[in-house]
Amino acid sequence: MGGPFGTTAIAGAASTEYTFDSGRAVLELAVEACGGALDAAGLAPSDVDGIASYSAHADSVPAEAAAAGLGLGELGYVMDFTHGGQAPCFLVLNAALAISAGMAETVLVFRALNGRSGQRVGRTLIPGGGTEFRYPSGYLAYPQFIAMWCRRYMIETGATEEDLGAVVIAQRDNARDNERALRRTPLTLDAYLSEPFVADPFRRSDCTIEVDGACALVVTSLERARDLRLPPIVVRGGGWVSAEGGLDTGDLLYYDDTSRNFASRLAPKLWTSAGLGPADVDIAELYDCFTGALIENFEGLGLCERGGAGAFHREGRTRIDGTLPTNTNGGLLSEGYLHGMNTVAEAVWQLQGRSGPIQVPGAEVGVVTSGGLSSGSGLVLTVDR
Amino acid sequence: MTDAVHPQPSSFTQFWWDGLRRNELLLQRCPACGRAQFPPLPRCRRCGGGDLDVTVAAGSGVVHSWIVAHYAFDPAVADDLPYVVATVQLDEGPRLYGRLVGCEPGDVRAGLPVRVRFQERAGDTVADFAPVPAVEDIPGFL
Repeated sequence: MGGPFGTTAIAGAASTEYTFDSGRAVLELAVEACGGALDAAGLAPSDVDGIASYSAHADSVPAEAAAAGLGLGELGYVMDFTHGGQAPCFLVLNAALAISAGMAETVLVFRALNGRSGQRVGRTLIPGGGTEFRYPSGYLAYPQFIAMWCRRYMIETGATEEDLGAVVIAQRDNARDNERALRRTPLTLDAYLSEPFVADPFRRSDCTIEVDGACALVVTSLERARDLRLPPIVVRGGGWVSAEGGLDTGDLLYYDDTSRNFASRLAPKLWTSAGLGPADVDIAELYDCFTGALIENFEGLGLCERGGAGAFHREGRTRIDGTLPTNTNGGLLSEGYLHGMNTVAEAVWQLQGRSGPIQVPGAEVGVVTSGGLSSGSGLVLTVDR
Repeated sequence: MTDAVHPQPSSFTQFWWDGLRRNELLLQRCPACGRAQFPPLPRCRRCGGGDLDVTVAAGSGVVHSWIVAHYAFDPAVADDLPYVVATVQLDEGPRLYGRLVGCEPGDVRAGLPVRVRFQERAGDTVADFAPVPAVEDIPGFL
């Protein structure tokens, strides 16, 4: 087997429900989601020989603990990555690399956390890294960090608060029929503009909603996936980029143009790896911990013209029935913050035709991103064709 | 103030905090490529050069971006709301973060000329910034 692109696939995906207080240990959530992904694919625990997960500031369980909880046998590949929301596409890619290298045949990739009732990443102050240069000024948390990027985007492009609102409104509309989503009530522009600021330019609805839960995928060779229960979703392309990073994820001081996040640097190699481009995409599932991150991902990938993301959303083009359905589950803004693992899962379900009331008919090519700042990852996924 | 909000300097950043206590804004400068940098790193971010020099910055720059905090992510800042945190582009090139004072949140704009204002906050000396000329800096103005 050569490289991972076109030869590996996602065979299934599953999640727990997303709640504000699971009342359950993180390991139980992890095992439920992983078990669900195996069931969906028609695989048994004995078929799995690799497992990967990620955390943000030690908020989850080791991948090997989930392996124990699932009753997996001997593993040839294990990965505990950090980086929170930058990780999910990268971990799928990493699992695909391990499979294409022969280290493992079938790998579970999961994210599990009590992100609401336990440690809340948006409100947790973590000493170390670049924090010593932020905290003394009261520059403390992710909503503020990404708001700083977004303001620069607004300065450079002339984008307005109405443009941010258009993103919120469009994604909320997509979430209306998504039973997993915790925010499903349509929002008007007036209602959006009347919300108090959290960190201007971000209001409450510009920010994701922290939740408890878990989400898992199973990655295997395309050859093996073809024999399983569901249509294989082919890993057609992917990549990671660390661009002008600093002392930690929140450090933007060495990054020159904060109006364009990592996605603009990732885009050329992502599209090249897949042999596809923005015009080929049927659905986009893009990381949106905040509206500003979504906009810089959307424009960074070249899915619309620079500065045009607000108008693109306002015109309804990202809706389920639009020309480029984007964040069909309502995004992290509406569904909840599973740190982007649910963003990848939504792409898989869409391409498998399993998204029910939010299904985009005939979706065959999807692009997915993970991350909102100076580094992150992406995938191009397709049906088997 | 919680412990996390206090700076916790490392072996390569201690000089910055020592400089602030002397009311000096210090930058590393790479003797190989000549670039100034912030925040401090063990080597030059641009070229990897070592044996970095330390220079005193003029303390002036312009606003590159900013946020207005309306929510207290730590009890220590609850009484300060709303407050502005800016990313300031110094004349020497590097950017840094600082509280923007002496300016209403609605009056902040990109490119606003600002100057450092050393400030004692909860026992630490920190670098705030204020627009120039600030009212207090105009001779005879009270």
